[in-house]
Amino acid sequence: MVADVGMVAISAMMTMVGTGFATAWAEKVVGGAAVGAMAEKPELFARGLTMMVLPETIVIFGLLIAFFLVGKI
Amino acid sequence: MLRPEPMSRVLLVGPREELDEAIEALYGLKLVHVVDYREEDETLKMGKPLPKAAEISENLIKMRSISTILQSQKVKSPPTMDIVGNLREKIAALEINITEEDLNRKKTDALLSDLDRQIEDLSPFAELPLSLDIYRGYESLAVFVGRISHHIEGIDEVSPEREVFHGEHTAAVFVPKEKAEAVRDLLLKQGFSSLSVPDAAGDPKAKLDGLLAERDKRRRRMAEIDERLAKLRERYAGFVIAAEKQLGVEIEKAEAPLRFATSEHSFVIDGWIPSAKFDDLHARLGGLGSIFLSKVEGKDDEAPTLLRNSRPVRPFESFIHLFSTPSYKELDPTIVLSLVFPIFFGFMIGDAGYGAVWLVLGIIALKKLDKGGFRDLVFAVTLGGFFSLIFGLFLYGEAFGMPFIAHVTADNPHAMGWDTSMGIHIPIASVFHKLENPVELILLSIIAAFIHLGIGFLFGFVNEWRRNKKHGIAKLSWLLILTGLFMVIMARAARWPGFGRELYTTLFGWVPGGGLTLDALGFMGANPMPFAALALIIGGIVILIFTESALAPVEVVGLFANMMSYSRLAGVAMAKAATAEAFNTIVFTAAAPGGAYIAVGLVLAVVFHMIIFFLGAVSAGIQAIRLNYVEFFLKFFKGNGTMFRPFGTGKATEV
Repeated sequence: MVADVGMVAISAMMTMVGTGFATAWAEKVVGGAAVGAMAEKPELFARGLTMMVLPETIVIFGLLIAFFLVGKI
Repeated sequence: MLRPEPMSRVLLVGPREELDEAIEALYGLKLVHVVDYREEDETLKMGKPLPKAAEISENLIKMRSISTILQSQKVKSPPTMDIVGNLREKIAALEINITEEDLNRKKTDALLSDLDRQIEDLSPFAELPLSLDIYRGYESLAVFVGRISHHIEGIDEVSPEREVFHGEHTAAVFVPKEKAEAVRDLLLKQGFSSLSVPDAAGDPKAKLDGLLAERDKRRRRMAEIDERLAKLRERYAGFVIAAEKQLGVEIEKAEAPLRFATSEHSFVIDGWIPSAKFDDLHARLGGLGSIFLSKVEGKDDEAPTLLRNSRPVRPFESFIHLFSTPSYKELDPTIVLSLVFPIFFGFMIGDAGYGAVWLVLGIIALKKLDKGGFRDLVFAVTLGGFFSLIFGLFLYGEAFGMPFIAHVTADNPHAMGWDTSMGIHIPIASVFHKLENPVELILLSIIAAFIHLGIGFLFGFVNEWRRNKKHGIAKLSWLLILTGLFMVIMARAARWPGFGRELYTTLFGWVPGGGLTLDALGFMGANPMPFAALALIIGGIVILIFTESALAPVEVVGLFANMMSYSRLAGVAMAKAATAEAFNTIVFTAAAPGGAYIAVGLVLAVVFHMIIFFLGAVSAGIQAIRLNYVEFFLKFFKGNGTMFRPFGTGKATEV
């Protein structure tokens, strides 16, 4: 049904928006702190980068859910 | 190749009188990584700098100040000179010359800024025909002088007795004191900002002319001084730079004893040297009197790391050091990085045109650049360009965003392509088209993920096996879980005919059928979740609980996320393809009318493609290196090693 397809699309959209926003916010905070730490001690680059990308799993799970919802993959 | 250079710890002992010679010998050899001696006990203390250090420091400081005054770094290629003769005398003579000029310059500079200020204060008043003393000394009048952009209006109503003088941007208002408040309000409303009257007397215009003339004179003097300094710079730049360098070397040698242990009559130098070079060192030091060199037992934890790679791979070492210097005991992943980064880069850009341009530009740049971090980056991108060319030709069959053979389909009869739009026939078919086969690209990315992470776990296994067999087994179990997850993803992809199914049957056709059906997740009917995959995953988790920790299975979800994060390879490829297609459409639409519009189209094409060229390389490069740093390295890399810095190169540790 058309309405169903619409609802599915909107829920996939909401999933991506929510998880994308959450990831961006988390990475922004951690990234800012990491850059500040690296300015004082450049050896922290490795750990800083690692910490910064840790929240990426949130958006990947969101992507997964969106895929399942849209049902094409 | 996979392990850093083996190191041996050496000890150099000798009498204090021979310390100087020992330092000269070590400095020349550039082989020993000195371990600074920091403890103090009764017999062995930190050494004191050699006696000549004080004089060298003094000369070096003078040299540095001369260098700043002369700004000798402005000279492009100073001639290299050997410093002969008495350095001290030369420096003293030069110093006198230079400081005099410098003082002159500073004085003139100060005078000029003072003049500038005075001129700025005075110029508004020069617009009015009044002399400066008229503005002061009134008992019954209030004076307002200031800037205003337009004619003052309405002052007659407030104060019928008034005198107003207007200049271009300035105005002066004289009113009786009683009306001062009212006039002030009126003026403020009209945007009047008042100025303070300078403390001089006389005609402002004449004064201003005088100041301007004075300023010109000073500026000419300044130019003369600068010219003289420039001449001095040309004459002495070579000397200054060479002297600075030599003094730097001398001071490092003279301060070296601070890093050694000394007692009353002897010294001890503690360091590391590549094992292969020990005999070399022994031979060279043998000639020096009573100095005694021996190999001692060294702990692996403290050894410095000198990466050992063949020449084509060496530029990637700077990427490794950027992340973290590998520790002495672990495997060196440079060679994997040197292959994987360009391949990922090539997959993401995947365009024969851009790849060829990067390759050519890179080769030209490499010839001109000196060693350094930037050159390493350019090398990596050049290699990436090569792989983009390969992928562009053989996988995607496209150049500059357009496929060689246009993909004319039912819903896209006017597809762009080199044969239809440009009339150039290049018979290279594309296996995948970036925008029409997103699923296939994602599947390829997942395969890349499996291979890359598999290598990571294997490296982790080798690293851990020596120290702790349990952790080694843990890494193997991670490998099992990885394989299981991979199988699950491939089984799910086998749902569609075409590439997905082909892939599954080629890779996992030998797996016995039957499995778990989960309709909700899409594992239905013909391709359930294979039991083999489940067995691998569950088996891996069980081993993990025993070898690593009870909470480790939570990380399985993290591993799945890591695998999925490789789909960014497909994502970036698709994004670039879409941008290129959009730009190409604009270009062709603009050039459609023909004639002069083709020139417009060409200009647009060049601009657009340059944008994609740089943006694409930046994003592809960053994503490729991020996949290596975060997903790959974190599976096995411990880092935190010490970099091998032999005595005799560059600056010693700075305080």
